[in-house]
Amino acid sequence: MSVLYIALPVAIILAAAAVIGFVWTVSRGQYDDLETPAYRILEDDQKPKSKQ
Amino acid sequence: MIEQTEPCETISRQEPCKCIHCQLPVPTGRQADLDSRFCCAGCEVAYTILNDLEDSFREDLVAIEPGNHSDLSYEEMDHPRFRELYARADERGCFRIRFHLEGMHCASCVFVIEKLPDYLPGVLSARVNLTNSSVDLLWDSQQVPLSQIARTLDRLGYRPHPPQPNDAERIFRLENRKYLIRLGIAGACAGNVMLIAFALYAGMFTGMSAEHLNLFRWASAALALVSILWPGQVFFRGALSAVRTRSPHIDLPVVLGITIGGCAGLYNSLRGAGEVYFDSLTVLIFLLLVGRYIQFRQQHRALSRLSLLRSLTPRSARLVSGDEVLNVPIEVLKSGDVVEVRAGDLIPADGLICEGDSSVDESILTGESRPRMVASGEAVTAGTLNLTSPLRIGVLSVGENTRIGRLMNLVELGISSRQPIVELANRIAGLFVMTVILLALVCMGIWWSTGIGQAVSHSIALLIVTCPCALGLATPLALAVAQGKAAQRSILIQSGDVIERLAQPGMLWLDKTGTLTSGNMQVQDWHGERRYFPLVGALERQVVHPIASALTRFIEQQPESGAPDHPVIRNMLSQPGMGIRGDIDGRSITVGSEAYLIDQDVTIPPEFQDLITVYHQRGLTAVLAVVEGETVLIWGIGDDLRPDASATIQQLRADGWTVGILSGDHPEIVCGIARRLAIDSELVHAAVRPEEKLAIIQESTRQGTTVMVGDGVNDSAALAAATVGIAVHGGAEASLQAAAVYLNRPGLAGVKELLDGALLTHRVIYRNLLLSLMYNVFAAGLALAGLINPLLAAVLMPVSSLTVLICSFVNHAFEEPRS
Repeated sequence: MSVLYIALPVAIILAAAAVIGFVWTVSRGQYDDLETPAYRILEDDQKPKSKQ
Repeated sequence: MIEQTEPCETISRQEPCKCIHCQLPVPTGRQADLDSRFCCAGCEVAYTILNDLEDSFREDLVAIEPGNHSDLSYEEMDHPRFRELYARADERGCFRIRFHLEGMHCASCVFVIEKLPDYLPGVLSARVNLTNSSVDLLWDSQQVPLSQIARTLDRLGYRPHPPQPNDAERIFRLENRKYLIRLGIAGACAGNVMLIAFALYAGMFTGMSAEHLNLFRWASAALALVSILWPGQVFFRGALSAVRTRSPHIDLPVVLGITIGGCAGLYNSLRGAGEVYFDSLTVLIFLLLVGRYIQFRQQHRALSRLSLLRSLTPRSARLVSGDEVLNVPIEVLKSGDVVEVRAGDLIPADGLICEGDSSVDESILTGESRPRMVASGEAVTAGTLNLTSPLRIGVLSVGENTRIGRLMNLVELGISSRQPIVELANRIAGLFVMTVILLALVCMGIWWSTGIGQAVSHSIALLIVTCPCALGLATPLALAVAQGKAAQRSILIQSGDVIERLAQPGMLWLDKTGTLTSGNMQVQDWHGERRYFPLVGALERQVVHPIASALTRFIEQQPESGAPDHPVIRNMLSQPGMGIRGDIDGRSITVGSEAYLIDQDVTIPPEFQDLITVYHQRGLTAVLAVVEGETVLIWGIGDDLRPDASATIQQLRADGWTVGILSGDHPEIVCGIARRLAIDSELVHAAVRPEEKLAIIQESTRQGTTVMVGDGVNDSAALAAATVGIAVHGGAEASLQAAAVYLNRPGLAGVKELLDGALLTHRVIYRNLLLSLMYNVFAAGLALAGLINPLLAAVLMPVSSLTVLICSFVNHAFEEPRS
C-alpha cells in the first residue's frame, strides 16, 4: 500500500492545480457576467471579407 | 453559420481546398472550375441566401424604427465636460463609455446591439452586459460623435443613460471575485478532505495500518488548515467584530465549533490516535460560504436594478447662450446661466423665471397635487415638472445647493439614524453559544468518572456535532430566496433584514399622491344643464391647466356636446388658478371656483351652495359655470382613487396593521380621501412639510414597527427614518435612495404582497430554525450518551443542512396569488 505515499500527494497536487486555474479565471473576470456570453454564442461570426 | 475563411487562392495547390460554407474539402472536379469555392451546388445556394439575408438585415438595421423611440438629440453628450465625466480615453484617441440601456431583455437585444460596429462606422466595439442592462462602447470620436451613437441606440428602442458615477459596481466586482475564490478553495478542500475521510471510515471497519492512518490524518489536517485559515477567515473576522461590539452574531458559534474541532483534530493527528473531524469542518465552511454568496448576489441584484432606475433621471439642460439654445450636461450649469425648460420637462436647477408663465407640478417636493401657477420673477425649484408652457429660468443654485440637494442631506441623516436590528439568527446565536458550552461542561461532568481523555473527547464531539451549520445557512438562504422571488414580482428589496423588520404588524403611513390615487384629475360628479356643455368646452379649451383639461376631456366624451364649429370668443380674461371669463357668440360665460365667481359679483343660488359643500367634503374641487349671470352648471373634479385601494386597506387592517395618511397635500383633498377609505381622522395628517413628516415617523417608530409608503422627495427623509420605507412606482430619485423597498408597479397591492411575503418568509425561517434546533438537540443527546463517532457526525451534518435548504427553496412566499 506504499503507493499511497505517491498517489495521495499527486491527488492533492492535481486539486491544487485546479484551484490555481480557478483563481486565475476568476481574477481574469471570466465570472463577472454569467448571462450575456450564453446569448452571444447565438450570433453569427463576421462574414468573410474576401467576398467582393 | 458563415465562417471566415482565407480565399482559396492563397492556399497552396497541393492542399485540398475547403468549401467556404461547410468546410469540407472541395472535390477536384469542381476545383477545376477556378471560381468555385464550394464543395457542391447546395452549399453555394445556402451561402448565397445567407449572405443576402445578412446584407438585407444590415440595411434593415440602418433603417428600422421600432415603435418606442424618442426624438431626443443627445447633443449634450458631445459636450467636452460630458466626456470628461462619463467616458475614459483610450490609447489611440478612442473613448470608452458605459451606458445603461432601457428595454434590454434577451438574446435578440444582445445580437442587435453588439452588431453596432457593423452598421455605425466609428464604433469599434460594443459589449453588452445583460445582468445589469448596460453596454460598454469603444468609439473613435474623430469618426462619429457620441450623440449619433446614442441616437442610433435610441432609434433601435434602447434609450441610453450615462450611469451615475459611483464605485458600487467596481466594489461589487472585486467583492464578487473574492467570494468566488473563497468558495473555490473551500470547495476543493472540502471535496478532497471528504475523499480522505472515506478512506478513514473504510479503515474504521476493515482495519488500517497505523502508518496509513497517520498519512491520511496529516493529509486531511493540511487541507483543513488551508480551508480554515483562508476562506474560513471570514467567520473569524465576523466573530471578532461581534465580540468587539458585544452583539451576538451567528459567526460566534461557528468559530467556536471550527476552532475546537480544528484544535482537537490537530491534537489527535499529533498523538496519532482518536478522531479527526476535518471532513465535517471543511464541509461546514463550504456550505456556509455558499449561503452567504447567494445572499450577497441577491442583494447586489436588487441594488443594481435600483441604480439603473436612478440613472433614468435626465441629466441634461438647455442652456441659452446668445441666440442659441444648447443641450449641455447638467453639471456644466452655474449660477447666472439662463436655461430654457420646455413644457413637460424637469426643471434642472433652482432659479427665478425670467421669461414666460406656466404651471409647475411640485408634488415631488411638497406633496401638493394641485399645480402651482408661476409667472415671470417667481422662484422655481430643481426637480419639479414644468407643465404647460416653455420657461426661461435664471439659474441661482445648482447641484447640492438646490432645495432638493439639501433634502437629500436630510435623507442621509435619516438613514444614518436608523436603528440597526439584531437579526433573529444572531439573537439565537448568542443563546446558542451559552447552551452549547453549558452542555459541553455537563457532558464533561457525566463522563468524568471514566477518565479525563474520554470526557474531553465526548465534549468535543458534542461541540462539533451541534455546530450550527443549518442555523447559519437557513436564514440567509430563506431571505435570499424571498428577495429573488419578490424581484420577479416587481418588488425590489434592498436588503434581507427588511423582511425581518416587517414580521410584526404596526403602523402603516401612506402618502396620498401616487399610492392611493391615480394622479389624474377627473370629473367625478356634475350637476346642471347639459346644453351649456359646448359653450363651456369652447372656453376651457383656451387655457392649459389640469382642471381645465379634465373639464375639456369630460365634455368631449359626452354625446353631442362638441364645441360649436367656429366659436367667436371675445373679451377673454383668465386668472390662472382661479377661473376664466369671456363672451362666446355674444353670450357672456364665466367658469371658475367659488371664490372667483364671488369676485365677479355673481350670487350663487343655495342649491349650488349645498353642492359645493358636498363636493368639498368628498375631497373634490368645485368648478361652476355662469351664463349671462345665471349659475347653470357645477362639476366636482378630483383625483381618482385607485380601484384596489379600498379593498387592500381593508385587508391590511384585517392583518393587524393600522393605516394612516401622511400627505403634503391640501387638507380638504386629503380628508375627503380619508373619508372615502374610512381612515380615522386622528391618523390623517395633511399639509405636512418634509420635516414634520420626519418628526411624525420618528415618533411612530418609537412605538413600534412603522412602515412608510411614499413617492416624492418630500417623503424621502421620512422613508429613510421609518422601520421600512417603501418607495412606489414613478417616484423621485431621492425616494429610491432612501427607501428599503421599491415597488416597481402602481397601486397598493404590491404593499400588501410585500407584507404577506415577509410574514410567510418569516415563518419559513422559524420552521428552519426549529428543524435545525431539533436536529441539534438530537445530536447533543447522542453526544451526551457518548454515541457520536465521526462517521455519524459526517452523515448528520449534511442531512440537516439539506433539510433546511429544501425548506428554504420550497415555500409560497412572493408567489403569484392564486385566484
